[in-house]
Amino acid sequence: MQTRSEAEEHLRIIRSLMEKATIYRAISAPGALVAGICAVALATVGWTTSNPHDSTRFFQLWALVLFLSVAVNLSLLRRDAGRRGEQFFSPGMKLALRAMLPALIAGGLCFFVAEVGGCALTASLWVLLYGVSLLAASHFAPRSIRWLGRAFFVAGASLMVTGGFVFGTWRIGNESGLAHLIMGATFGLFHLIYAACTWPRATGGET
Amino acid sequence: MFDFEKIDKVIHEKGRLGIMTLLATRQSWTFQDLKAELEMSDGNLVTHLRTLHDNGYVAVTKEMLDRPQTSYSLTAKGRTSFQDYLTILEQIVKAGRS
Repeated sequence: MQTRSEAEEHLRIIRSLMEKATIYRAISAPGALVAGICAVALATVGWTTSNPHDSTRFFQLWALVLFLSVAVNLSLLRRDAGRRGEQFFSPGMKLALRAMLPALIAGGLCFFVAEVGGCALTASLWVLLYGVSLLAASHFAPRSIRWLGRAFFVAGASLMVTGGFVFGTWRIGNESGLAHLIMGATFGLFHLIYAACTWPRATGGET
Repeated sequence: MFDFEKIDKVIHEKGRLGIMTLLATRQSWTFQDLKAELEMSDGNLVTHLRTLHDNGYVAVTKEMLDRPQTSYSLTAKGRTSFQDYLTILEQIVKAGRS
């Protein structure tokens, strides 16, 4: 060891490996199941009964689903941490929050422009930013979270690319219904698939 | 002036440093997991693990599950040596700043 820079390089290697080795599952399988069921149920009801241009009701209902899903997921993560004898607010959770928060906050900020952009565009942005937030945590997340992030990112990006044409068409028709459909097909179905894929192995290795 | 002789030469090699770091993060690691995480060849990994084991830093556990599985963990001596190594690195960085 001759120089300070060499010592810093070794510390960087240690830090990077420790971060990689810290696997943190930010979404529990039962939490994803609850979120998926709520999202699919609301999307089905919203698709069939919503007022085509009542975006306020759309945002209120999905904010409620978000609140419920986050509350259930956090309580399940707390229970799992307790079972493992770990702290709820563990270093892994802090690492995950640091990585995910910027994109999640950006998604929350979409509420402020939602009335201008319309609910279909806002829903697409949520899908994209949720995917970005999951991918940001992918260095220390199990493979299943990485795949979930990729699925949301690809779906969000596709919706943004096709949005100009599709949303323009639907704005004349049932835009609120389309937004419910987007939310149900992504936040609903993707979380249900994630829950199904991780459930049997949730108590075993990290998948 | 910092005494560079204090540095543990067994740990101070990138391959072995990687192994020690990973072993410090969990109770134990299987050979396959270490290999995948560090992207090392079998031969390289075996050689480094043997060096660490011979120096009393790493304990080896062989189990028969559905197939033979070898797991590695840090011994108390290994954990203390790794912590001492980290402290020395920090001292070098601090000395370089002052």
